[in-house]
Amino acid sequence: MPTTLVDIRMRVFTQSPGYAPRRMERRSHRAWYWLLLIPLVGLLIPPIYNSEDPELFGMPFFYWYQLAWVPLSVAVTALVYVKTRGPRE
Amino acid sequence: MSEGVNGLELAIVIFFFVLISVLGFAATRWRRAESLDHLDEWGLGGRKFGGWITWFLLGGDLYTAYTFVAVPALIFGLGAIGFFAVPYTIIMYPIVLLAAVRMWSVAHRHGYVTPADFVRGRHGSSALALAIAITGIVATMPYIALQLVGIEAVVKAMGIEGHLPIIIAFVVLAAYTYQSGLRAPALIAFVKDSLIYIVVIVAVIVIPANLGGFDNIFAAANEKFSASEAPNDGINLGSAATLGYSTLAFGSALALFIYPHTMTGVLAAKSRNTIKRNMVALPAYTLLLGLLALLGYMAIAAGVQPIGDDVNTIVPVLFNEQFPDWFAGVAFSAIAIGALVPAAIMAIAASNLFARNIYKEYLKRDATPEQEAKVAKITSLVVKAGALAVVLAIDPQFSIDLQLIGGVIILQTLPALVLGLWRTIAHGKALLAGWAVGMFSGLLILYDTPNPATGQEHFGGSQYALSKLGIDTDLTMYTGLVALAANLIVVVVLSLVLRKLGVAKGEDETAPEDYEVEAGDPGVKPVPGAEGEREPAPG
Repeated sequence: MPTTLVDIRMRVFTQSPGYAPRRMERRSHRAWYWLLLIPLVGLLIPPIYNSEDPELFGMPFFYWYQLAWVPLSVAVTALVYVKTRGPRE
Repeated sequence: MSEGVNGLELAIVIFFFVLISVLGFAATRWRRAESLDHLDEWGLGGRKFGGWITWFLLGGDLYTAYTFVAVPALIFGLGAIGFFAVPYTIIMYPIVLLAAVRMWSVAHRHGYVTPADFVRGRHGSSALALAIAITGIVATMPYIALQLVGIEAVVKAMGIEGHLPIIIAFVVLAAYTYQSGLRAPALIAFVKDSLIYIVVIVAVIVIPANLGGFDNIFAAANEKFSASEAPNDGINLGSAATLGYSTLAFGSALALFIYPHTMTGVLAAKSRNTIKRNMVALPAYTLLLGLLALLGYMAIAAGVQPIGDDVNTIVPVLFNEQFPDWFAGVAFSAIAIGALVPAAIMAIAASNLFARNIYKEYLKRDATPEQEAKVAKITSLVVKAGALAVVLAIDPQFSIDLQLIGGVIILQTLPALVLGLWRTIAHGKALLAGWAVGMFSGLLILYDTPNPATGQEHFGGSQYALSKLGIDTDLTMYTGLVALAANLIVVVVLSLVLRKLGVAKGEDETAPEDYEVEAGDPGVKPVPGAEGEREPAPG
C-alpha cells in the first residue's frame, strides 16, 4: 500500500469530499450482497435433501449434498468478495 | 481401557504439550511490541494479524476440540441430527460477512476492544453495555469448561485416571496466556491446525478402507438406528426434526459470531480486507468438521464402545483401535492442543470484557491502560481456575447443560450488537428491555424442557416443542431463536413507541462512515506502543 504521508494529509484536509466518491462506488456494488442468501436457501430447507438417494461413493444424499455446499458457498462468498472489493482492497 | 496406560501415546502427547508450552511463552517476543501493558496488545495481539494468522486463529477459535469430540459423539448416538454442525458452519460466513467487516471498521475507528465497548459507544447506554458484558462472560465460562471435557476424553482413552493431567495442562495454559496474551494461542494455532488436518485426512482415508467403505459404514449405522427404540435417531432426519435441524443450524451460526471470543479474533485482524478474505477461506475447516462428524458412524461400524458411559470418548477409542500407537498419540495431541487454543482465546475475551466494561466502567474510572491490562491478565487466571473448578467439582453433564444455556443467552445480545451496526430505529432502552425479555423467556423455556432419554426434568435440551404454543404439530424449534424472536418483537415495538413519545436516543459517538473505513484511512486509530508496519498516523 504505497500511501504516502502527503496522501493521508490530503485526505484529512478534504475528509468529507474524500469519502463521498468511495462510498458511492461501494453502494453501486451492493446488489451483489444478495447472492449471500443462496447458501442459506440451499441448506436451511432440509426437506430438499433429507433422503438417502442418490448415493455418492456409498454416502447417502443427505450427507454429500451438505458437504458439497462447502465449495459452493465458498464460490458464492468469493464472488461477492471480488465484486464488492473497494479500490484499495 | 483396562490394560493400563499406553506409554508411547503418553510420550507423544507430552512431547507436543511441551512444544506448544514453549511456543506459548516465546510468543511474547513474536512481533514484539514495546510493551504488553495495554489491552490492544495483550488482549488483541496488537491488532495486526494478517490473513494467514487470522485464518489459523479463527479456525482454532471457532472449531474447538469439543466440537471435534462432541459432534461425532452426537452422530454416534442420534445420527443425522448431529450433522447440523455442517450447515451451521457453512452458512455462518455468508451471514456474518457484512456484520463482521462493519464491526471491524467501527472498532478500529474508536478503539473498541470488546463487543460491549461498541454497544456503549453506539447506544450511549452503560446499563446496556453492562448487560452485554455480563452475558458474554457468563456464556463463555461453560464453553471454556467444555474444552476440558474434550481433553478428558483423550486422557481417558490413553488409560489414565484422575484429573491431574487437565490440572497441569490448565495451569501451564494459564501461565503463558497471562504472559503472552492473544499472541500465544495465535502461534499455537499453527501447530494445532496442522496436526488436526493431518489426523483427519489420514482418518477419513484409512478408517473407511479398514471398514469396507462408506456403504458398509452407513449400513451398520442404519442397522443400529432401526433397532433402537428412540424416535429421533436415524441416518436421515425424522419429519418432526426438520425444523429443529435448520433452526438449530441457523441459530448456532448467529450465536457463534457474537460470542466474545469470535469478536476477539475478528478485531485482532489488521484490516477489513483480512476479515473478508477469511470469510471466504474459513469454510475449509467445515469440510474437515464434516468428515470428522462421520467418524461417529465409523465408530458404530467398528463396534466401538465408549469408556464408561462417556460417549465423548468414542473418537479417541476409535483412533486407539484403528491406528498404530504412535499415530493415535499424534491424534490425541491434536485434540488436546485443539482444546487449549480456544480455551485461551475465550479466557482472554472474557477478561477483556471484565477489564473494560466492569472494572474500568464501574470500579475504577480513572484506570490507566497499564492497570486495565493488569486486571485483564489477572482475570484470565481467575476465569481458568473457575472453569477447572466447575469440571472437577461438578458432573461434566452440568457444563454441557450450561453450554446449552450459554448459546441461548448469547443470542439475546444479538439485537444490541447487530442492529447497532446499521442505522436502525433501535433505541437503547428498547434493546435493554428486549434483552431482558429474551433472557427470561429463553431460560424459562430451557427450564421447561425435559429430556425423557436421560430422565432430566429440566434443561433437557435446546429444542422447543411448538405444540406448547398451542400449534397442532410435532415440530420443534431451536429455543435460542424462539427467545430471540420475543426479544426482537420487544425491541421493535418499544423503539417505535419511544420514538412516538419523542424519548431521545442515547448519545451515539459513531458516524455512518465509521462503519466502512479500512486500515490506513484517516481517523483509524493506530495502536499505542505498536511498532513499524502500520502507516503513520494522520494529523
